[in-house]
Amino acid sequence: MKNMYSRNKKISHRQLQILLILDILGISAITLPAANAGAAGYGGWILVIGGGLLLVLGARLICLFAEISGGRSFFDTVSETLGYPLGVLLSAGLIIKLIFSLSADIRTFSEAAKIWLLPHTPLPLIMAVTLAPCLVGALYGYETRARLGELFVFMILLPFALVYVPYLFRIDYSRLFGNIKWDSGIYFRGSLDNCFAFTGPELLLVSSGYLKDPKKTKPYALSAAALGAALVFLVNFTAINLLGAELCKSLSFPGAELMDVSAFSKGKGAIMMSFFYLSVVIFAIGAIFFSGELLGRLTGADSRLCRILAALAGFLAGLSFGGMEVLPTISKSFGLFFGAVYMFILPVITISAYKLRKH
Amino acid sequence: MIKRILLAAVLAAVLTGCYDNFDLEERALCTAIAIDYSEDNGYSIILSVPALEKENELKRGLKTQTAPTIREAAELIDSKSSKKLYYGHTRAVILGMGLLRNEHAIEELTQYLKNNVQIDKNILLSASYDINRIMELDPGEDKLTGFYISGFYEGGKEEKTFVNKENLLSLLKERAENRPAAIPLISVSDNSPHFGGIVLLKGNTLKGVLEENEAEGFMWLCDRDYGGTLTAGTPPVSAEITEKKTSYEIIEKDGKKRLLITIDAVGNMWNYTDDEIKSKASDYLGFFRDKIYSQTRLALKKLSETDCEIFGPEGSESVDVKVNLSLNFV
Repeated sequence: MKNMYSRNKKISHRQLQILLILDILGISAITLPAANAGAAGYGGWILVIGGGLLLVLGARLICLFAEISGGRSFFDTVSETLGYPLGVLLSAGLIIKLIFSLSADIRTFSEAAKIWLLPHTPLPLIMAVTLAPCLVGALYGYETRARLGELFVFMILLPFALVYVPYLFRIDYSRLFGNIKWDSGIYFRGSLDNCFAFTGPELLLVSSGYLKDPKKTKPYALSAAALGAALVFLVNFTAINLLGAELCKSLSFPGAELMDVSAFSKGKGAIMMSFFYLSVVIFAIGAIFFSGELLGRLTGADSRLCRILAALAGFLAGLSFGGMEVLPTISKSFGLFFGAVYMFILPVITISAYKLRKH
Repeated sequence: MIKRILLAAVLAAVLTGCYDNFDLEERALCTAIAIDYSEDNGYSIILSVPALEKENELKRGLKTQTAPTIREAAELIDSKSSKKLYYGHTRAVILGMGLLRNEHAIEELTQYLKNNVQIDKNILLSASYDINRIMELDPGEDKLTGFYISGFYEGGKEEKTFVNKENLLSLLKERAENRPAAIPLISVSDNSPHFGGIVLLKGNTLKGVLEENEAEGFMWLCDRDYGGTLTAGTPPVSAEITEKKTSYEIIEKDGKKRLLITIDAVGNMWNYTDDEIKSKASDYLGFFRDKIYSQTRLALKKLSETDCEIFGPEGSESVDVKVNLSLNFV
C-alpha cells in the first residue's frame, strides 16, 4: 500500500476547495428537492439559500477552529482546549456522525442505482461494490482522495452544465413567487435542515491536520462552501419549479428524475452514475479515512484496521435503514443534532475557551 | 497483482450489470404503446415493436395482449417474444376511452408509467376512441408508429399547428396538484391522425371531452405559441396564424376580481386583390376575431361545466376575453 500518495498526507488549499465542493454536493443534491418541496412547497429552493448562508457561516467558524488547531488533529485540539473527557466524547460523536453520513450516502446511492441501472442486483451487493473502492481509496491515504477529487471534479460538474443549467431557461419566472407561501418558522427550520444536510463541514473540521497551511484555509473554504451550496441550489431550483412542488415531494430522487426529462434522457443512467457515483466516492473515502483515523487515535489501534472497521460499520448501518421512506427523516433528526454541535457549538466553545486560556 | 486484476474484473462485471445485460440485437424496441380497458377483458395493450426482416427491411410489428393488469399484459408479450422488450425509445402512449372512463384503470396506468424507469417522462400522451385504428395507421417508410404519432404533434420546424400536447411529466404534475389534465383526442381521417378534441382528466376522474371547436378555444386560451390555418365567415375564408400570445391579468370590476385574458394574434391572408382587400378587410378581420372569441367562450363554458376551470377559478362568467388580431394581406 505504500506509494507516493500514501506517504504524502498533506493537501493543498486548491485540493481542499475541490473536496469541499464535492462533499457538499454528495448524494443530497438529488434527494433534497423532495424534502424541501415537502417543507415549503414552491418556496423549497429558498431553504437552500438559507442553508447555504448558514453553511458559509459554519465554514467560517470551522476555519477559525482550524487556525487554532495549527495542524494538530481534531482529538488533540479539542482535548487540549476543552479537556480530555470532552475530547474523547466529541471525537466519538464525530466518528458516529461520519459513519452515519457514510452509511446514508451509500444506501441512498445504492437505492438509486438499483432503480435506474441494476434492478436485478441485490441491494447489499450494490452497497458492498460501491463501498469497496472507497475503502481502497481510504487505505491509500488522504492525498489519494485529493488527487481523485482533482480528476473527478470536471466529470461531476459536467451534468450541471449539460442538464441543470439549460433548465434555467425553461422556468416560467413570471410565476416564480406566485405559488410561494411565506412562513418564517418553516423557512428557518428548513434552512437549518439544509445546512446540516450538507456533508462537507464535518470533513473540513477534521482535515486541518492534513493541510499544508491550516491558517490560510478561510478564503478557499468559504468560496468552496458558497459554490457547493450554489450547485445544490441549482438542482433544487430547477427540480421544484419544473417538476412542481407536489410531484417533487412525492419522488425519492427528484434531481435524478429531472435528468429523465432532459435532452439527454436516453443516457440518464450513465449520466446519473458518472455524476453521483464519483461524488459519493469522494465523500465516502473522506468519511472512512477520518473516522478510522479518529478511532485509531482514541483506541491506539492501527489506523488502517480502523478504516476497515469504519467501512464495515458504514455498510452494516446502511443495511439497517428501512429504505427511502424513512431514511430522509432519520437523516434530518440526526443532522440537526450533530450538525448543530459540530458546525456551530463546538467551534464557538473551542475558540472561546482557547481565547480565554490565552488571556 | 493478479488478485487486484481479478477484483477489478469482478467489480466491472457487477457494476455494469454484465451478468444480465442485453445487447442491442437482443432488444425489441417499443416505439408506441396503446392501452385500453374493459370490465369484461381487463387491459388490452398494443405495442408497436418494429423488427428487421430479411435484407434489412424494417417491418412494423404490432403485438397485442389482454390481461388483468397492465404489467401482466406487458410481461406476457415479453415472454412470447424472442427478444427483450425495451421502452427507452417509446415516443407515444395512446389511451383508450374505456380506460379513461375507469378510475381504477387510470390509477394503475399512471403508476405503471411513473414506475417504469425505461419510459421517458417526455413521452406524449393521446386519447382515442379506437386505439386499434391509431396503431394500425400506416406510418410510412420508416415503419415507426411511435415516431409517426409524435411527429404529428411536433409538426415541421416552421409549421405551427392547433394541436394540444400533453406529456407524462405534465400529467404527473397535474395529478399531484389536483389540476385538470388536457389530453389530446385523436382519430383517423384519410389514413392520418386527426386532432378531434381534448379529454379532461382530474385526478382519476374523466371530467368531460372538449369537442373540436371547444378544443381550439382551449388552445387560444393557453399561453403556448399555437398557430396554423384558421377558417371563418360565410363564404368561408382562411388565414394563416403565424404568431399568437396569450396573457392573463386580474382586474377589479364592480368590486369583484375578474380574470382578463388577452389574446394577441398575427396572421396572413394570401392571394387577395387590392380591391378585395379594400372592401372586405374589415369583414375578414371581424370573422376571425368573432371566431376566436366564440371558440374561447365555448371552451370556458365547457371547462366551467366540467369543474375544470383551468383559466379562472370562479366560473366562466368571471373571465373576460379580449382578442387583438392583425392580418397582413400578401
